[in-house]
Amino acid sequence: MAFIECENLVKIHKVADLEVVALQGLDLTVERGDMIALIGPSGSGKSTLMNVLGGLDVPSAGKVRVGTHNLTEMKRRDQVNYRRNVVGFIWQQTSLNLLPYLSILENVEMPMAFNSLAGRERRERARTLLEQVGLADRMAAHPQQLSGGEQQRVALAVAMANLPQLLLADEPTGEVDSESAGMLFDTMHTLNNEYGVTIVIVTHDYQVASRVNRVVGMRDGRASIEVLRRRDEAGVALTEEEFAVLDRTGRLQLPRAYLEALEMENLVRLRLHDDHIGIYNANGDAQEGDIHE
Amino acid sequence: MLLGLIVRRMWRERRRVGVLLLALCLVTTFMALGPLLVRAVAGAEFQLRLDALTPRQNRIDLVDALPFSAGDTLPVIENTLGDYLQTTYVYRISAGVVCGFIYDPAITDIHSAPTSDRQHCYQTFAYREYDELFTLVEGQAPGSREDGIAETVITRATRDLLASFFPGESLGVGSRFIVGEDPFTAITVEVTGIVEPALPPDDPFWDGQARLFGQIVPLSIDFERVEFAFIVSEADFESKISPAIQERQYIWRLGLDYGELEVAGLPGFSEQLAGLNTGIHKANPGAAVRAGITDMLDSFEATIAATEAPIILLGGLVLVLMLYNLVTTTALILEEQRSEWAMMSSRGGSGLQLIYIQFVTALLLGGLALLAGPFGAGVIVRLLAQVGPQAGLLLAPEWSQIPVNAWFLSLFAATAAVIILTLPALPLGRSSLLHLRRTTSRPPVNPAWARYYLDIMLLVVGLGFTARLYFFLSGSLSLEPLLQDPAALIRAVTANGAAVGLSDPFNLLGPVLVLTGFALLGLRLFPMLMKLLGLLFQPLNNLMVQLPLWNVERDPNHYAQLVLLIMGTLALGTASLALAHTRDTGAWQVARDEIGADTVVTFGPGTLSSADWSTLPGVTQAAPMMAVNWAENIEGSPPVMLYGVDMAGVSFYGDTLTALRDADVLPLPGEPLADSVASIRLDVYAVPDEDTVTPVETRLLLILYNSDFLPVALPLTTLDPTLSREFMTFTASTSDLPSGTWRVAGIRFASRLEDDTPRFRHVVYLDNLVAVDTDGSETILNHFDEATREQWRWGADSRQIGEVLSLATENDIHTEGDSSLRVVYESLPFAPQPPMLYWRPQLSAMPALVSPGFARRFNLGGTDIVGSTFTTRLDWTTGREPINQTVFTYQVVGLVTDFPGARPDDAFLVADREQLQLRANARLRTMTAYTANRLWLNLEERQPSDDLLQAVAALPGVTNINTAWERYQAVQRDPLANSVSGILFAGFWLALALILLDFAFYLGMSLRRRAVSFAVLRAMGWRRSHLLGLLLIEQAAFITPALVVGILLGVLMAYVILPFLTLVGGTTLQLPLGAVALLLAALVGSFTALLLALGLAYQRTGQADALRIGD
Repeated sequence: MAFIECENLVKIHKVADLEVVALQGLDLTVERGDMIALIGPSGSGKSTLMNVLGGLDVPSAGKVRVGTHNLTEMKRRDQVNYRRNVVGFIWQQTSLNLLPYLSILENVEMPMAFNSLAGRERRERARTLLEQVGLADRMAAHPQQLSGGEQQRVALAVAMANLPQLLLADEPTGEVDSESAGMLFDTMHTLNNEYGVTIVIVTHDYQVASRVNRVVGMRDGRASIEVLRRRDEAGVALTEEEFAVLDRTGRLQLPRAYLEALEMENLVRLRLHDDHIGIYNANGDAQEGDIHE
Repeated sequence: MLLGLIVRRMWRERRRVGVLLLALCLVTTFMALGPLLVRAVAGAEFQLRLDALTPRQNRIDLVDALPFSAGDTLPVIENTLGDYLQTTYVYRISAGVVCGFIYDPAITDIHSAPTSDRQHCYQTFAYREYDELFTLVEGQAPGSREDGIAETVITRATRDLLASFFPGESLGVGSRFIVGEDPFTAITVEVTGIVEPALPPDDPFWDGQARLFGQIVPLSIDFERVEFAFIVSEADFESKISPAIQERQYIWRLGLDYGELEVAGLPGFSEQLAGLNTGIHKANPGAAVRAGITDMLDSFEATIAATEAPIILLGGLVLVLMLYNLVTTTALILEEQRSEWAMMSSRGGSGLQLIYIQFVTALLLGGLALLAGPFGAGVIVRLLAQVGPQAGLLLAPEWSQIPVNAWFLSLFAATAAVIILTLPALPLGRSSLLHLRRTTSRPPVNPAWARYYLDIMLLVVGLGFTARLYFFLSGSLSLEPLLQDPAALIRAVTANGAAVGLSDPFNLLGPVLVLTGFALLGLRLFPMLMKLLGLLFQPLNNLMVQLPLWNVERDPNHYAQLVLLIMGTLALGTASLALAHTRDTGAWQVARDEIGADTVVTFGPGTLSSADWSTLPGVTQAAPMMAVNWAENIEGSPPVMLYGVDMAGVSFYGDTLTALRDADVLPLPGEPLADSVASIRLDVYAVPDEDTVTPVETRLLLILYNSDFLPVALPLTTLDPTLSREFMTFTASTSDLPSGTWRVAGIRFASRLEDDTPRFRHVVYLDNLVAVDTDGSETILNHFDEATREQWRWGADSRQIGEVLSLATENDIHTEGDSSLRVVYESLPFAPQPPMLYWRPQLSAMPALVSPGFARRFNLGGTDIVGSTFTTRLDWTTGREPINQTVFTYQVVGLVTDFPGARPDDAFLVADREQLQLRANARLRTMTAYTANRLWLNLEERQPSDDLLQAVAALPGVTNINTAWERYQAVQRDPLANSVSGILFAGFWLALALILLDFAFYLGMSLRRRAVSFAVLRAMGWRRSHLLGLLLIEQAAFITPALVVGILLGVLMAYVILPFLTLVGGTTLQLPLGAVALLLAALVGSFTALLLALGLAYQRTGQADALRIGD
């Protein structure tokens, strides 16, 4: 059973009289322990999906399950418990991740305090996490005394404080330099390996996207493409393939470049071949576009 | 860890926390202010009374029918009263008087004829401190004798009084009298000495012992007696006097010095008095402890108890305003902290945990504010005592005497504040970063109350309940009575307080709903008002004018709340100033109306001389007058005042006495005598009685009036009064008369037959009444010619036949001129007085002004009595016997209600003093005659100078000095009115401080948020001065409407409160425009200063930095 399962997920935002459909029947599965990246243009629904997976928002329709938690049927208390114990969040703005008046050790302890963990255990775990993120020697420092990258690493430790099963990172490297971004990503990898935490990263950073084995591209509220990589033991990518996502209902999003190249719009012709389905321009001779199983 | 998180969070946010703490402290300070202010007000009033304590109040009397044991009593007194005790005198007295005759000295048989022809009454005294209190001037001090006679001394004043009033009787060394009616216990008392008291007769020590100096007690119109006291030794009092008398009293008179007693020491002193009571009653359970200060102490506590409740209630209403202010400030602070709250929520903090964080934070702040509240209130009271309408009228309690109520109220306010601070955390506890982002990215929506028109609903329902209340009070829904006399509604509310108030909560619901509805309506209308302003200024096409209006219009909620708060605050300040100013004016008016003038000096009978009183220091006008207080000896019967004014000084009374001044001037009776007259001469021709051969001894008395129209009879003497059928010259010497104005009023015929036949007729001819001066020159006062016959009238009590039959002009028998006056009179037995002929008597009715109360009292009628003539008789009685009677006929020339010193409902009559004295003194003796006894003075300043007071006190005969200034100060110190004014004034400043805190916080937050837009404007070419101007116009846009409405609300509030504050003399509400202008200036100035300070601080930020802030 997949760890994260989204089935025909729909989310509609209502602002005054305006309705915005952020997710339009998204299907997505993520296995436990996976580390995936979500990419896509603004308005594609990435952040909405993150909010839903993070228990911050409730979908308008569809199903979404994370582990054993059915996020569409959670009551308020379950949501609190879910946010506390199942999911950890890292935001792009460092000011949203850390409380400036607490030391970084105390920042890491805070979610554990909300979870009523005993003081000694809290402290021990916090120290361990900070060591794992490489900031063991700066425990007494306050966030404003750290660089942006260091702050994000602390944010990582904070997100891992209650040892969640799922870690959501929304543009974690958006405000840091490339070196720090690399360090941050390495840290996330470490935590992924160490704790088996499933990590979903929303990013525009190609460097980050290229370092995960699975990249899900979103467009118009649905998953449109996926890039899968296989690596050797050293982590070097051996193969990289891009796939179009075919959802449960058989919907497919064709790359825009392809459509423009063949001047396809509105209606197309489909033709079933033995081993593929041909898609042809409705106006004139069809140019073959292959979809392989 | 959460507690640690809370503390660290508070420290990190210490500026904001400091703002909140300051706001909470202001709230608790205000709420704790009520009890302290009441005590300060009551304390000031009490201190004033303490400083004005009379010597009579500076003492404590221990009184019992049984003797006090010195061994038990003295230690109790010394231990409980401590340093307050100054003197201790012990004496014993017989209760009541015993009456008897005075016997000749050295008689041995007390049953022989007494030397006094009437019984006098006496009382027995015995003093432990006899040697200290009395000095022997004659004879010897009383000792103890074995023969059963008690030796005694009397005062010289007693001896002289008896001798002067009853010349045929004497009381001196050797005189004896008997005490007791039971022959087995009666005791003979013998005077062995004459003493002089060490203290003057008017010394308060002699209170209750006035008989020591002798008293003339009128028993009826024609009969008086002397009451006096004598002093025996303590041993004789116990062994000889006590068995003979019914009751006795043992008195310890303690003189205290309250000079060191201050209000702060009252609780301790009350305990001392209670200790004295307890200690004395242990040994003497039946003893009475009479302390002059006890009533004051009780009234002090009662005043505080009565005043605190309404002040706390009023404070509670103002607290609502302050809590609303706190809500807006808290909302601002929490808004700034939204991201932090959202982050904690997103990190797994449950709603309860976040509320707990906010609650504990609020609790810590509330705890500090609770502790600070009463002390802050103490500071405020001390400030109010120096500055503001209560300056000089407050006496701040000691820091150690902060009342328990202040702590409770501070706790109440702190609790309310904690709830206010915690409540906004409830919705925040449910928010997340997702909600935060959505809230900031989307425009604000209409609040729920606006969407559902809650303001309109509240107004409609509230007006309905208010109409219900109005119907209950006025009986109809017509607004006409309300418009004609709005104060009547307030008075009706006051009069029906219980029914209107708590017994039916719906009665109060109406006004509350209306106020709340108006407040919400104001919030709704404010954006429209701003939009309207924007439209008005649009043609100016000036960005610097339109931009601020647009800013205010775009963020109306907070500005609208600020406007509401400013209006409420300004209303407090305006109401406070208006009430204080109105009270000041009204209090002075009340004081003057009660006293009658700026200063009123009361004199003893016959001591107010006619002098130029306007030469006294600081006096602008002076008016001597006579005030006679007549009270019928019936319980509950109100007194009647007779006022005799000098018409020469009628301008003193303004237009009050116009009708009296315009009335006909009645001529005075008789004929005035020049100061140089030494004797009066009258020629009399007597005719013997035809019915008898017994010679008639012609006796005549010349009746003179002194300046007070008190009749004095001078015997006219001649060599042989039995002569007849020839003129005899009768003479009376006037050289022994006291100086002053004298008038010949008439002739009394006291002739007698030599055989003392009581009833006989006599004929005499009178001629040539002459006044002889000291230099021998003569002035004919009356020729008794034909033309003068009409001038003579028999007195009503003469019971003679009318003048037509008994008085005739006689041309054949005369000594001077053309004729004489033939008088036929009858001497009547049992007549109260011999017949008297009055010369030019006052026959007309005396013009008088009467009050409606006087007309009601004597059933004269209603307003139609003007012009009518009435006769009124006033009897003075002891309860059984009349001792004086005044009958006068007067014509009512007008009704008067506002005579100085009189209340509108009082029963009083005003007439010319001489006319009134003429009628009132006709049958009186000197000691009871009505004379000018009051001097009314108007001064340059309200407060009489020390020079004036000293000059007046040094005048002979002064018995009392009343100043309107003292009464004014007492009225000003009325606890309730003073406290109301003070609480509103303090409320204004504290609320203003809260608003400024809120505004400063909002402004700082707003400037940070708008830093980017400001930087953009500056990048477009705006200067810093333009930005400051923009901020100032923004401020003006929302403050200006608040100022006008706020002042109007304040006037309305003062108008509503004013009828509840008594003692303002019916003065209408007066707005001190100058003070209100200062108030406005303070408010506008403080906002502007704040704006400029923050704006200048912002100006230090460079554009690039500002743009980075936005990033």
